[in-house]
Amino acid sequence: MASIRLERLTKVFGATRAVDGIDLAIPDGEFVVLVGPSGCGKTTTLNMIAGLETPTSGDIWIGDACVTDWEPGERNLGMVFQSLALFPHMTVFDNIAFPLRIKRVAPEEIASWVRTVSDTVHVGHLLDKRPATLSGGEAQRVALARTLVVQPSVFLMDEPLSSLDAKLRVEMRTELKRLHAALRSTFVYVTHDQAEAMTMADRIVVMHQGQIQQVGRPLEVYGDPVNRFVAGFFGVPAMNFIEGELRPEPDGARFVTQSLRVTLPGRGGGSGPAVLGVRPEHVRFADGRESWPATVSLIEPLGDETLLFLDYGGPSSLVAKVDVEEKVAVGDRRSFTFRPDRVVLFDGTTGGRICR
Amino acid sequence: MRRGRRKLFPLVRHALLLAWTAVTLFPIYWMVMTSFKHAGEWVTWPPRWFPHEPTLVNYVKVLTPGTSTFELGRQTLKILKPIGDSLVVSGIGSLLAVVLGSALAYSWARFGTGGRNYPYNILSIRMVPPIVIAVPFVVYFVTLRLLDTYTGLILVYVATCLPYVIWMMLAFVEEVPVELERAARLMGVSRLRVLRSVVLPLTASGLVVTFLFVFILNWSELLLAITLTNTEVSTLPITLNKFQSANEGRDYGPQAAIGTLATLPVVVMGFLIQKHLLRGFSFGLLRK
Ligand SMILES: Nc1ncnc2c1ncn2[C@@H]1O[C@H](COP(=O)(O)OP(=O)(O)O)[C@@H](O)[C@H]1O
Ligand SMILES: [Mg+2]
Repeated sequence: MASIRLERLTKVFGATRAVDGIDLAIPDGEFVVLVGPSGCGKTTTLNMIAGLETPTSGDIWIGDACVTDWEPGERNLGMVFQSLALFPHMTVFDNIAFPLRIKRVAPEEIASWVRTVSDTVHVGHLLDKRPATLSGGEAQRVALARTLVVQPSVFLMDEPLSSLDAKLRVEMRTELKRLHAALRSTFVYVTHDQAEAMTMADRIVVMHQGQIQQVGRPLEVYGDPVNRFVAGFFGVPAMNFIEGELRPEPDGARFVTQSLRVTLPGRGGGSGPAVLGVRPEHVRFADGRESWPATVSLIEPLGDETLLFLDYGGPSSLVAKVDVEEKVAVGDRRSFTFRPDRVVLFDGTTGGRICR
Repeated sequence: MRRGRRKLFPLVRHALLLAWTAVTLFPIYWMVMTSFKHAGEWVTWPPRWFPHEPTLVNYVKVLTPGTSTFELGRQTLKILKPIGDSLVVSGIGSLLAVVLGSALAYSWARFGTGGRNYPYNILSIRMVPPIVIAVPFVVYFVTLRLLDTYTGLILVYVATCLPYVIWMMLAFVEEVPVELERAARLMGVSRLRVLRSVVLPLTASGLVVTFLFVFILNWSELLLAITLTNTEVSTLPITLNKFQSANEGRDYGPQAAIGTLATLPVVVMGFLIQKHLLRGFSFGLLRK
């Protein structure tokens, strides 16, 4: 049993509220990703779960025990650090064996465990090397092996892939997912990379300025963000935000700027300053009643899709993601529209979601 | 034309550097040569670059057991005891300073012990010239009966070396990523064992470099030693200094022998430091 529960967890460093009263329940066996921009308190949260940082207030529960005051070594956790934290003065073998030696496991047993685990993550041929001589990917696997060898009930990982190059990072994502599927332990994974969060998580916890913004499955967080911050954090390129005004209509609402008038049937309530959010893939060319003219000012082919920058008369251009087959050239004048069911609206001042 | 100048410049630079090396090394060369010469060759004209009949008589003279004596108005210095005293005082003093100072450096680097300005406060002690503290120490030491004792001089050396040790060890401790210690703590390693199996191995070169550095300082320290000791304790620099005050300061051979003997450990340690400095600062290999 290794569910985790955080209750009003807070950490204050001097004047900084690094973690600001977060509540979170992680069921046993879940792969949870804490994601947010740098400095939002992810590492501090993870360190408090690990016992490496003492909470200013609040409690941490692992399984049925309140572990807030427990030593790190008593919590049965494994952690992979951002810097990997391999001991430079020990060989790979000794690095992996170290946690077993601490637990006074018999030498023959240590050797067989190290061998099993290092084969699992494919570092069996590196056992005599020193960490400094390993490549980024190899060091990554060794760090993983050292964590695996004691079979912890919870894995904590702090941006473990950030030192790898892009291709390897994508490979390791898949491998970690496989590992999780095989072990069925609880994983708490920290990253600032929204793509990593989207692809790996069972559930995503979005953090900003020490607070949890939203908790949900990847597609929930992507498609149904609770506020402008979450909406802007996920997706590449980012969601388009258009500032304007919301006016009530008999059968819904209407969003108005100087150049756009978007009717939003079935969306009640709300008036005043608002921000309309629409993802690039939900902007499309169409002629009709609810469409607006724009000039294509820039084209960025991605290979599988193409990004278009559309000047429609607003303060910044609108980014649209279209099929590569779309025949379009810079300077073209086209009409575009939004997929009305995918348009989201935020309060102009608070940034909170309105008119669902 | 330009190519010619490019070839010429390194040549000139090397010639200048060689000349300067010769200037700095010449006195040492002359001292070592003199220590192997018979009395007749100490001051002859033209000067002898090498002893014609190399001899160890000067070394035998200063190294025979016993205490320094006056014979026929000429002082005969014996240095076995000063060498021992210097080894004891510099060795123990440096060792204690390194133990205490590295503990302080670690606790400040990791836990902020003593507050943000602590290392600077400690350093400000070092800003006081030794001459200023020498006389007050005499006053204290008379009361505490520490004047002319090993304990007294060792205590003073520990105090004066602490700032150096703390600052050097701070640099070495800060090279050890905190995450290494945290990783070990998560595996259930006690704080003390973390020190032994993670911090100590990774700062070992730093400890050696620091020890050698303060040892050399203490080995050649004169002012405090001469002020705070008399007959019971007498270090090498004091003994060497006595030649200046000898009635007939023409005993160049034994003097050169003492000088050579006093320099030897420092030179050896200089080479050791070089090796360890390289290793001590090679932590860049760690992934940050
Ligand atoms: N030991 C510390 N002392 C002071 N401030 C800290 C300390 N650790 C983190 N912080 C601050 O707390 C905030 C959150 O840090 P962190 O949890 O490392 O963020 P993240 O991992 O999300 O990038 C940051 O503003 C950071 O500067
Ligand atoms: Mg971090």
